[in-house]
Amino acid sequence: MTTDPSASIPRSHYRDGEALEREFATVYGESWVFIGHESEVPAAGDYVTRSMGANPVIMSRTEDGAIHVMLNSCTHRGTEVCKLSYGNTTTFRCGYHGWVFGADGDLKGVPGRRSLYGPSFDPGRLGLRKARVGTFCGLVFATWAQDAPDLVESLGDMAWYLRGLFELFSGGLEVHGGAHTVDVRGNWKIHVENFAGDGYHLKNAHKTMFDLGVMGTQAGAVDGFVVNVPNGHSLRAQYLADEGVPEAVLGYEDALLESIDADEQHRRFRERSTVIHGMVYPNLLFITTAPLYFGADADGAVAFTQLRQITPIDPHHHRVTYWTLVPRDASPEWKSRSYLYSTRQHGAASFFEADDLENFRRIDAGLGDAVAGVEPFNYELGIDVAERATPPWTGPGRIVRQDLTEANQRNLVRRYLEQMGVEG
Amino acid sequence: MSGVSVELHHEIEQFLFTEADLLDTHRQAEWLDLLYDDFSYRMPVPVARDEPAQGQYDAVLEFANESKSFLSMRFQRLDSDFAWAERPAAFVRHFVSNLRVDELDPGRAWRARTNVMVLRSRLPEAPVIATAGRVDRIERHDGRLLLCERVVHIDTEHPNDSQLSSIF
Ligand code: FES
Ligand SMILES: [Fe+2]
Repeated sequence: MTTDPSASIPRSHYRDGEALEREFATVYGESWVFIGHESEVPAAGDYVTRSMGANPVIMSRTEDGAIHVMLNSCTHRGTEVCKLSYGNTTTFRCGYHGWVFGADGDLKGVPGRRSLYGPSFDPGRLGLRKARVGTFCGLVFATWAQDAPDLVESLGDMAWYLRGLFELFSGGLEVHGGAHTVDVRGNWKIHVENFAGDGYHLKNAHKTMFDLGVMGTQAGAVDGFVVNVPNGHSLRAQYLADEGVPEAVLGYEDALLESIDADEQHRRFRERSTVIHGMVYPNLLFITTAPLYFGADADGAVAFTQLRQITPIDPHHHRVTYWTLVPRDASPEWKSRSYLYSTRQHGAASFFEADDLENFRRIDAGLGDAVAGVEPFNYELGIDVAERATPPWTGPGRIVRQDLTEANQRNLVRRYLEQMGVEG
Repeated sequence: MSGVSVELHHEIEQFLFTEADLLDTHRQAEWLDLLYDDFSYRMPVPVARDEPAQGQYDAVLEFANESKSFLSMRFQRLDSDFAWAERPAAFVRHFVSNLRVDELDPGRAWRARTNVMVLRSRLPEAPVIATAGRVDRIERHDGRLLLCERVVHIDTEHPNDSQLSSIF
């Protein structure tokens, strides 16, 4: 697949409300959007409230075990029917006139229905608006597009990598604690593009972290690769280059390592890896890292896996929802350490994260206007540069044997422009 | 009503004012010196639950969980030209009020609860304000008051990163 090296998202798409409206209609309206994890709603009646593009949604589980995603908006006058972050219920009662909806979104009760509504009133067509739901490796996605290809087809070759990330341990992963959000400055695409495969910013943006000696294995000799697939999804994976290091997934308990039942290539994808991060287009970000070393507390540092969902608030701000995933079969002690390191390294209040968020706000501050701010961003990194090391695994997708390349960002830009119907 | 003498109440209040001043004037080394060695700083995540009685803060999720050594590293990096988020330094101002003191261990350990408002401003962005309730554990060691533990209950469920980036 060839990509025009000069393709770029117009700067206006980082500052214009009009572009954002179109993104909601196409990028968010037509894609599978990540909502949450199955383990967040383990029992019948469990629910969480989330954002899906500009829409507030409820993700719930019913008696039959099915997971539903529906618009959190009463069909009478549009009132949000649930104001809570999470909980367990059999019904959602609207606070305005009292219509009652089931955990599957169906309209179950209307005050005064017999005397106040006539015979043509049909509650059957007044359930909460339901999205199509798809799950993969415990990840729950939803889409409003009834005719979109199914989830697995839209993930394409990314599915192989998600298996390596989320199904490595036989017991699978679960959310530790729950989710929380933080609002940050900058257009939502800046954050997504960073996770898609920006290895180039590390030694500059996070230079102080290397200088402080906290980068652990990532500071040594490493080989990195990026992988991308046609629907816009991509990842970057980095490995210890030192042959002397044992072939193991770094930062997990021994008992857990013994529970790995993945095939050989998936195992190789994870072994000796220092960090793997990436994104499922358009707005699910993931990162899993080997332990880093934070001062005197370094003893007992463990690996962690974090998910983020990115939601635009307006052209200049986005909301980040954070989750930390832990192997279901890890010890409680390990799980809380993993959460601790996830917070300290990549929580919104962490100083590692501060470097990124500061650069995101500086991008936002430097966008300029329609007269001066018109020069497109540059995505030429790695073009016509010889590929280097050989990856330790064989897998599908387009594997680029380079760490510092914008091949993934070019892939993302191409998918975005195609979906938005604009020329780069 | 505080369960301690006026003198002690005053002493703890002055301690907290000085502590806030050190943060506002970027005297991090002196601030660290007020912390007990196994100091812990936690900021649990606010959560909207069904029953007010269920508590408004999550038992597991945290915006921050830091130790003294971790905070020392955070300050160490301020000396670097590459600490992008700290250059130029933000204007930070703490307002500390509503002190309530309970004795935990006679003459040695107290719980000090305060309300704080923290303003943070970095040009050219508008100032950002965050308010929170703090629960501190303060102990006397070798005659000096030291901060042993701080739990920060921030007053918003959807904070922004500027509100989270100061030490409360
Ligand atoms: S708006 Fe929900 S019942 Fe009227
Ligand atoms: Fe970064």
